[in-house]
Amino acid sequence: MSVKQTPSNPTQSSDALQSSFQTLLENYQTTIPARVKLIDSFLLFIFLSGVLQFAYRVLVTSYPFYAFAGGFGSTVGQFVLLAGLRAQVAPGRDGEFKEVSQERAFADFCAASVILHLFAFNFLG
Amino acid sequence: MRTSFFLAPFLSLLGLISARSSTGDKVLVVLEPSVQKDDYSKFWKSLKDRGFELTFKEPKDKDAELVKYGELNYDHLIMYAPGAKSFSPSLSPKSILNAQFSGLNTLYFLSPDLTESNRELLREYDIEFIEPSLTLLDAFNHPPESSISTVLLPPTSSIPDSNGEIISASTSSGGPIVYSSGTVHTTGQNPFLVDILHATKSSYIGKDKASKGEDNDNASKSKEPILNGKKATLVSALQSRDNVRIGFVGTGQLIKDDWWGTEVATKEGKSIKTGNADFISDFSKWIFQETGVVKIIDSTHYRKGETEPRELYTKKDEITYSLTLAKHYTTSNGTSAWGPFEVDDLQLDFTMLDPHVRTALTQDKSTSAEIGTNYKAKFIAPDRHGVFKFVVGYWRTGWSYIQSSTTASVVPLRHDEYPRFITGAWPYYIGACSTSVTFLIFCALWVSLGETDKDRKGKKKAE
Repeated sequence: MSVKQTPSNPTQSSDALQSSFQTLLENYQTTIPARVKLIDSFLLFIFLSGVLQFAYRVLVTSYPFYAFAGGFGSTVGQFVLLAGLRAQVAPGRDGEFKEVSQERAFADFCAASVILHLFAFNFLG
Repeated sequence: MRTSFFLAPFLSLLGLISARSSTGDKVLVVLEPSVQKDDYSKFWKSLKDRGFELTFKEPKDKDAELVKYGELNYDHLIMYAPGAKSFSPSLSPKSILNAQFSGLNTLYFLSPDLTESNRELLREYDIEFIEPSLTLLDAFNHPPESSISTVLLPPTSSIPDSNGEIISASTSSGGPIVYSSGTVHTTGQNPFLVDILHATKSSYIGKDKASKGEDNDNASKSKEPILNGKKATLVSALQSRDNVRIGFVGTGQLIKDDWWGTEVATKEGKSIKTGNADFISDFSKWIFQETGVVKIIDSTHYRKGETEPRELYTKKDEITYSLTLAKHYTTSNGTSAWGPFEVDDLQLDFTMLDPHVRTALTQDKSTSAEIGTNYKAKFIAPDRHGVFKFVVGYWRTGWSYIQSSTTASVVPLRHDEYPRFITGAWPYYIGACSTSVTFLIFCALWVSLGETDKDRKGKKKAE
């Protein structure tokens, strides 16, 4: 870590912030496996989709409510399932999920997702 | 007029043969014995010229049957028997009222010497007469050689303003009407009654001293309320709900030959043609269903893009209601015919207890009806479910009452008529679908990435 402990002026501090951010990115790029990166990008997409739908529901219309429940529910559920998968496959999981293999975790995720999507489409109406 | 409505085609065929009346040409004339038929010959002749068959009877004639086997024997009745104390059963007030319920048009000629039984009959129509033997007098408007009981009525001030259907405009501005020794009546609250002729301001009610040659202080002491001007009705008419027309003329002298088409001297010394012939011709034409007769030719309703009426309309359907009306008229060669009827104040109500839609029926000139005039109204069915009625009610003085009521239901959308996708919900549809699609892409990438990463995973596991 090459970040100075006591930045003396705003320019230095923003420099420091920038460099620390770069370090974070570098570390993320180098140490995080591709599959976890894939999960993270999917998480980001679902998060944005959920926020947009909720904004639409608040600002424009909640009618029909079932369609909102279906659309928003599928994003929330998918987010939760993905977060579960990430917890099981990310590095350092061994302490908690020693017995669960990546393949097993992925299969669980797939099965749960399919059921989730069936529910969501039913709700769409 | 339901029966005559169904009989209309048959009756109009009859009409083509001779009469100009829209209902029929058989007239029963009931004259009391004291009335000399020949004194009124010009009136009878004018009726015959118009195509009517006259049958003369007396009030006590047993064979003067108005209704036979439940059918009307005569289409019209002229009742000139104000002094008759007793009638044959078939001409009793009760049987006349019953015959009027089945469509008998009646013209009553009355006199100051009305009997009590006649007064009671006339009270049924909400008409009250002044005391017996009192007449309408006018010391200012009478022919110089006649007594003051022969009143000259200038039509401009004694015929109320109207649409000219009952009494034509030419009569209303024509010569004076001679009203000789006639009685006066008041019309009550009955909304079906119409005043046709009323007294002038200078006329009053009393006993005619000159003609009776007796002193009559009794008359001035009479408690009879003083009637004059518009309140003192001389001729009135009644059109029932079934469009049966009944006329009341305060004196039979009105149709006497002496005043029929003759000239009368006014107090200025001028000689003017009387208006009696025009007046009573107009009035009897209206009573006998020759003028002011309107009928419904056709009424239908349909949805936009269709032509046939439906029993069920869905809410928010665009409904068109179409009504064809025709007016009766007499052709130049004296036959009965139906022609256009053009008014601009027709209304349609779409009612379920209350009118949910009330809209104007406007003349549709684009479709030319075979006979009559076509009126149309377009409206959106209300968002309210139930049994509705298309109601047209046109009640105007001088015209037949137009009533039409058709039933149709308004129902909600059926389960398969709702829109499959709602426009407002598209963001939710896209949200759910994109999640599923991304999930599939994720799975594909996961599997493919797994193969390339195998080495590193293996190393990690080895560590």
